[in-house]
Amino acid sequence: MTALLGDVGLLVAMFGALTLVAAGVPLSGGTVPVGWYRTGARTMLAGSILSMAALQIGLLSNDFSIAYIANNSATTTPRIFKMASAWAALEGSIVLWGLVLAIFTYLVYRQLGDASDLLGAGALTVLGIVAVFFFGLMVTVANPFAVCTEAFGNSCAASSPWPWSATASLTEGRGPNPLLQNHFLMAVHPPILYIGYVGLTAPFAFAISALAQRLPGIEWAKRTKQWTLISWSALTTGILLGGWWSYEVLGWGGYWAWDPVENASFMPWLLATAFIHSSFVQIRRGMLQSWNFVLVIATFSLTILGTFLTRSGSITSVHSFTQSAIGPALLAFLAIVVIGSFALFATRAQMVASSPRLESFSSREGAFLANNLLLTVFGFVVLIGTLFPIFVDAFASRTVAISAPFFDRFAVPLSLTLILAMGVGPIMPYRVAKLSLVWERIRTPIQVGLATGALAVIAGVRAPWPLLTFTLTGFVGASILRHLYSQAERLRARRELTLGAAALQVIQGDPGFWGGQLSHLGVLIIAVGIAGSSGLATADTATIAVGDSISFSGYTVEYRAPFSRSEPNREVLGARLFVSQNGQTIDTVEPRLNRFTGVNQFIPTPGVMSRLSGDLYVSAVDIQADSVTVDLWWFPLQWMVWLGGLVIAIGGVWSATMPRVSRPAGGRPAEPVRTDA
Amino acid sequence: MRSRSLIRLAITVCLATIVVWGMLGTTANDADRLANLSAQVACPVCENSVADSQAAYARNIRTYIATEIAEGQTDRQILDGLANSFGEEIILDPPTSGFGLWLWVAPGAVILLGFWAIGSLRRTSGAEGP
Repeated sequence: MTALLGDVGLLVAMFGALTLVAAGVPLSGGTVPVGWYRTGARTMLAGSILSMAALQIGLLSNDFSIAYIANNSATTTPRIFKMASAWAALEGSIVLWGLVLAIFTYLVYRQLGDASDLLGAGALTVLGIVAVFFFGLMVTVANPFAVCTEAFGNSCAASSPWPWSATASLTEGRGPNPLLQNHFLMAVHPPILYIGYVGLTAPFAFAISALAQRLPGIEWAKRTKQWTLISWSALTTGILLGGWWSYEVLGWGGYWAWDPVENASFMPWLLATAFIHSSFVQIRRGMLQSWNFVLVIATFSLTILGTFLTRSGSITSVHSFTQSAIGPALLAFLAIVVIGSFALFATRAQMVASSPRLESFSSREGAFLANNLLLTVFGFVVLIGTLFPIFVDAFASRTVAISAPFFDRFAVPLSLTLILAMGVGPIMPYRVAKLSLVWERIRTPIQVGLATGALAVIAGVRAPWPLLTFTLTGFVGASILRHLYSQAERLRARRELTLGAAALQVIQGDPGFWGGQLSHLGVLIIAVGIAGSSGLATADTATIAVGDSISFSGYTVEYRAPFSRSEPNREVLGARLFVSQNGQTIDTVEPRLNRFTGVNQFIPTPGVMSRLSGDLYVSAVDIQADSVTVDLWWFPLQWMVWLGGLVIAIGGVWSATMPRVSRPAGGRPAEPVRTDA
Repeated sequence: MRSRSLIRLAITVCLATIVVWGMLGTTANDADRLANLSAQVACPVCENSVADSQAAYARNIRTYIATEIAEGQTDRQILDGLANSFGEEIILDPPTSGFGLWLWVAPGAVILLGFWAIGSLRRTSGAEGP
């Protein structure tokens, strides 16, 4: 019954998607069938909500007649992880994908103008085409509601797409991958990441719509700015939450390993970041029109490539669900997207052929170009590093691993150069920035940066990369604040305001620019967090007898006792460790080893003590009644990594949603303070 | 006025000297070298490098590296020794010869291409893109 409900939902959504595609036909005659788009967008949304609801009902009611639920949930699974199981494996994750896509499509429909809005209408048709593919996957090779026809133990060995097939009677399911039922972040990381990932379809749809209908100009870039910013903020948050999950759950003492799955989300992030910046140049100066098309198409292609990498089994990780039928389908779709989009782009070359000349490298435009070059190269490095092992494996039948050292070698200098550019770019005027003016604006920030670095040296930091990072972040932070101060000071002198009120008005007068600066501050916070937690970390491994203690990084860590408890879905074995400083117990950490029902291997959960100065991170290797063996890490300033991610995302949302506030000024017409965003 | 800017310059130079001294005035100690080297060595039985794992294999390799460091071997010698005993695959850095070379060259080529594209944007008003 639930399976039937889900299947009906998928078919309804598919019908909605096809309606959006069909609505594109009259566009060539210059008429927009608004009614069709309304029907299509609403039907697709209703169908995808229905299918997600059916999946949730099935999961919560332990309906193991559905193969997906038998293989990914169990009666003992806690409720929150039952719900999260909807996106814990391949077929379910595509249901989520479809739902997010349908929501975005509906929002784009809501912004559709009148019957003359060819650009918006075309975008809806492109969204429909993408949706046909994903709902098509669900009704064919990756049906989440296939019923289980043959049981094997607690899992399903064979299934049938027809909901009326005779089902095997399973009373218990296999349960989710133990790694995925260990932390509440599993419930939030995937949906937020998907909002970012899938949301990037919207700018792609507008770009293709503009190209296909020969609608030149900046309209498409303007209309997609908000979509891009919001998706990008969600993607930022999703990536950081994934890192946090890895840090809290995997117990290897880190949050980022240049795993192909991480890279799959990071590549579109890099290019979307580049697009956000270069679209300003297009909107403001009419430059880079064709480059922006390239960026948007590449960003969307990378999201599909990422999905292929993570969902096709060509790499192994917690995200790869080793299902083969879907791999070729995704690869074919990727080929169609890449070849189709760039072929379309090539035939429209004359449409974007002329644009204003770059007047000087020393200008805001020049800084944006440098930003785009760095981000594109960064994206390219991540791409070749991710694909190289797959190609070597495919064509030379050799296994090579490209891992952290390769990526770090490029990522560190590229990131630091990007940070440097953040201190210079935003204070440069458009067209031509006189060097004397630039110098005047960065002179004091340079001194602040050097003072920051010197303070770090005095505090005992001796590692080159962290010192360089601290110096640069001091410089950029001071540059942002100096810019705000000088704008506010000018306004204060004119309007007789307090400095604080003037600063507030400056920020409200140009939320696009200052939201961006807030994101830049977030990047600085992350940079300091990474420099601290990676560059200045210390590590040790120790075996501690009961009642004994060791010293580590200024703390005394004492092993009091083991503990164990039974939970419905797992056996937990833990070690209680007392952390004291200067003879005073300040905290306890409890690293644990979990054994999940039906899994024969221990999954560690680290114990973490967070302080402003850093995290004490303890991961259990072996827990005995009389002794415990633990890995200990001290990660200075770790919390700044998470905080920085949040600040970046808030800056993006701020930029996208805050209205520009014009100030009432004693009868005079409002006159916003332009800061050249 | 002039003396004030001189004082400012002097302070700036002092600060810069401290920062540069802090960056250069370090020699990696044995623990740093061990951490750095083991992060570059693959661990076939676990997920990441031997630096991040408590598998017996990873522990053995770390012990080996620590011994070599204590015996005064250079980083290069230690990595070469590991590559000789266990094969090239154990070194996580892709090789700088053969078909691993283009991994290192390609990013540079893209940067040059980007410079060229940006340069052409300055010269003419048609071509575009970094």
